[in-house]
Amino acid sequence: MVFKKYFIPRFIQYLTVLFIGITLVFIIPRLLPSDPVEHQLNRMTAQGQYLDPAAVEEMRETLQELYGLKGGLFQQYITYWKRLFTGNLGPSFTQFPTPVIELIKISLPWTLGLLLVSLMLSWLIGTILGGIKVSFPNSILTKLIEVLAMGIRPIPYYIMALVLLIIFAFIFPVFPMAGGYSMGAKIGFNLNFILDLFRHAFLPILSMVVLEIGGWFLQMRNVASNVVEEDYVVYAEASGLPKLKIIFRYIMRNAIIPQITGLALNIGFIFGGALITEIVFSYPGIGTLLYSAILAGDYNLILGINIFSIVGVSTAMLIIDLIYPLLDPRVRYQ
Amino acid sequence: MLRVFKRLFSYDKRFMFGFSILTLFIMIALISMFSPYNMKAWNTVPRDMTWSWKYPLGTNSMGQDLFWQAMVAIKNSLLLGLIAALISRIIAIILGLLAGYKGGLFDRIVMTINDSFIIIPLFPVLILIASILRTSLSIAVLGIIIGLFGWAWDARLFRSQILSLKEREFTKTAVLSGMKTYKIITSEHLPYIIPLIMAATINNVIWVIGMEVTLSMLGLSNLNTPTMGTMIYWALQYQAIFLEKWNWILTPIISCIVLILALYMLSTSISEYLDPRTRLQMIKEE
Amino acid sequence: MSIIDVKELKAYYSTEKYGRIYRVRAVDGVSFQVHKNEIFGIAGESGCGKSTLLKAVSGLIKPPLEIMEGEVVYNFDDIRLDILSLKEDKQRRKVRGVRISHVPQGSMSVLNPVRRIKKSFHDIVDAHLKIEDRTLFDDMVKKHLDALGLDWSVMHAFPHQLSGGMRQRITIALATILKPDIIFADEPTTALDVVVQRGVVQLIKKIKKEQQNTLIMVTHDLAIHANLCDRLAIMYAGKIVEEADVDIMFNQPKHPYTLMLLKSLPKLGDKSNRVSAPGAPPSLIHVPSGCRFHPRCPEAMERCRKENPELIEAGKGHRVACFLEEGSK
Repeated sequence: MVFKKYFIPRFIQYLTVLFIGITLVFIIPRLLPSDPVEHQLNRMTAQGQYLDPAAVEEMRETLQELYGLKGGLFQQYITYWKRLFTGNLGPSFTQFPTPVIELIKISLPWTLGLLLVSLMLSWLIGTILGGIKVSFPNSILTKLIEVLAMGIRPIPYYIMALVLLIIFAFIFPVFPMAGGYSMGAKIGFNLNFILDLFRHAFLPILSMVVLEIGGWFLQMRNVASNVVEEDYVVYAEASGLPKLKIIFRYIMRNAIIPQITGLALNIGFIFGGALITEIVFSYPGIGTLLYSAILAGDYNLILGINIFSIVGVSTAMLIIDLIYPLLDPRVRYQ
Repeated sequence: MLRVFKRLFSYDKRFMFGFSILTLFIMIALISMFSPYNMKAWNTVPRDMTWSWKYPLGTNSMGQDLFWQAMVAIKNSLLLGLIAALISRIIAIILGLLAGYKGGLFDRIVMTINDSFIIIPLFPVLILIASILRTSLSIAVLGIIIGLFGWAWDARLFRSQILSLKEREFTKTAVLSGMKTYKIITSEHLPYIIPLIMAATINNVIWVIGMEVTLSMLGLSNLNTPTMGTMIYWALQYQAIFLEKWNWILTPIISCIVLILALYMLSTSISEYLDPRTRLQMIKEE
Repeated sequence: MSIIDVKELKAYYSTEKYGRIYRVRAVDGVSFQVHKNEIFGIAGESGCGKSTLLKAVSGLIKPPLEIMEGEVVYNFDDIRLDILSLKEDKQRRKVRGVRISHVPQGSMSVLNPVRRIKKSFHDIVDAHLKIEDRTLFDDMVKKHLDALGLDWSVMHAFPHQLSGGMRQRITIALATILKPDIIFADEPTTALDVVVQRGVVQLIKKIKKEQQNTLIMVTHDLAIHANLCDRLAIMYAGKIVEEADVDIMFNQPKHPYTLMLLKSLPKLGDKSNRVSAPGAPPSLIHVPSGCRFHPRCPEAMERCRKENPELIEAGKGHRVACFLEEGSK
């Protein structure tokens, strides 16, 4: 009953954002001066082959059909949505005729793994450290972490990944430079493979965690320092409750709520960061897929990844929003 | 204003550090205009040389002097940051202020669009655009494009600041005493908003530089124009890591990190200064 | 027999930012005594330092609050405690909730919003008593609630589901469940409507009768003081300017400030214009020279600008800090 008050507006917002985002992705390429079909054809003819004009014409038609560029703007829009509802993101041009959605499906688990692990680690550790910092404000250790976090946080994902790559995969070749697993490794649930996976995943995860921990730490610190000045914390102290209890049940439990909101807001940014990190490490996720699409000029693939990203991130936000009432009784019960 | 600046400079080490470095970079950018080499050309000097008095940072495999290239790159990156930040500031201010002051349905519509821009992962979208425009991306165009997407977060920030200012006592008093709306905005509210805009702008510049570097490293901008991102791109193309050409690959990386850190320190010290708790005490004193 | 003895207490808020030191002299040389079983009130305008005084006397000292000088001593039957020298965690914690309890300002938000009321009770009791048997605990709490006129059903609720008056009562219940010897209350009736205020006042009276605690109440509402307190102290700009039994205070006030405060109170049937004290309370950072009230005092003399009057006896249990009083001796 109460859920309706909370969930329905959220859901409407979700759909609206999806609508705006997908329309945006629809509009942008059509606003820009280049025509991907011509682009494609030019690339082909630039390779110096002679192509029968009639064949080129046919190819143009087919490409237009495939890219959804046939017909007037409105017609294209309808086709666009129709295809989306059937999960049809078109075929990849470089890996013709594999549908884009298939390629995404293959790369997705790697990206998800990277994202989830690094997000969990950085969010949990950052939040806990932030809570500790607020509860023991004069500890030297936390001050040190604070300085470090603040220094590292603004560094772009790419640079951090690159620096780590140089140091740990090249100068001190502790970790492999690229890939998700070694070539020729036996895939399966054996210890070797799993260890191999770890070794390859370590640097990308480290890169993301190092960058993000600072952010969560700082955010939690700010949130929690507001909570500490709230009346109920002062009162708890005045009633002689044990410090640990106050820290966990009173301070952190309340600070977590805006912290989760922060998580939801930042997901888009972190997702982008994951893609970038993957590219640097050639980690076989969506990021690398995107990169190869850029190199090959696979327009459909780029488009498809865009749409997928928008849907994915929005859905993740919705899920987080759904968790929110579980944490905040003020929303759960009116 | 000057007093505030002096105070920040002398007591907050971060501000001092950040500001000095920023000034240094700006000077570099200005000096770079006198570069003796044309940075768009290759082979203007012998290739692959290490540090020497003639070529302070050595040269790269394309025959360009690294020292001057780094300076031009800094200038370009700063310029790009400025353009993008300017555009996104204008959009953010207009939308944020309008939404905050008008409220109602207008506010809701603007905020929904705004939130979409926050949620939508910008990286893939920017790649989409950049990959289509690839060759015609000059610094200015790239700056404009990045600027067109970077306003969402700050617009929301400005709007919430306006909302809280609207509710304050002194605003209500001013309204009740018949002050014209625009006068209220300019004389009462702006003093609070301007520092906020400055801090937000600096943050934005950081983000823009990061975006530019990322896009360029993927080869998505005009690769003949030296920026920090394109320098790294070319260095990677020529296997600078494997060939251990540290002067080539590290110059842009380190200057990028230093610039970003300096900007970040500036922005944190300004926003800490703006923190209402410290601010109130200052006001009491004055 | 004084249960609380405060001597020359000075408590300032100090902050340093960008090389400037800001000192708010919230409590600037305060001495008084509270007798066992009495209700002692502290009154004054906003910003005169009364909340800080309460915090300092009850031992809730957190930076930027700093005790510069002075002594606060509790004289219980069995033990004498020098509050300010107690070690923060262990010793102060043992005393809180059990021997002293504190009801802070803004009781609206005193309860943890994510915890059910029952749990909040658990927290306080568990902090000081070891009750293994939950049913014993439930009984104890239920008896207490009944005495306060609260229904058991509130235990399962979250704070935001209850009305303001209800929350205030629960806060009082929490503060008194362990039957403390001293209760410090900071604006317990502020932000409540008049009907609820009355209920709270009755509640406080009832508890005091039953548990025989000593109550120190801070509020700017003189009507509450008149209704509840035995003795009253008036604070201005960090110092006590007058202290007396409530009857004497209301009928024979001696300090010009007290006179102004009383004049501004409405009286039933009196339709004449109310006069309030002109001017505003001084900043506690830049304190006026001499007597702090002199810029607003209609009786200000030359002396008042230069010297600061001390509290002197002006009758039985009646102290005033004013040169007028001194002059009349």
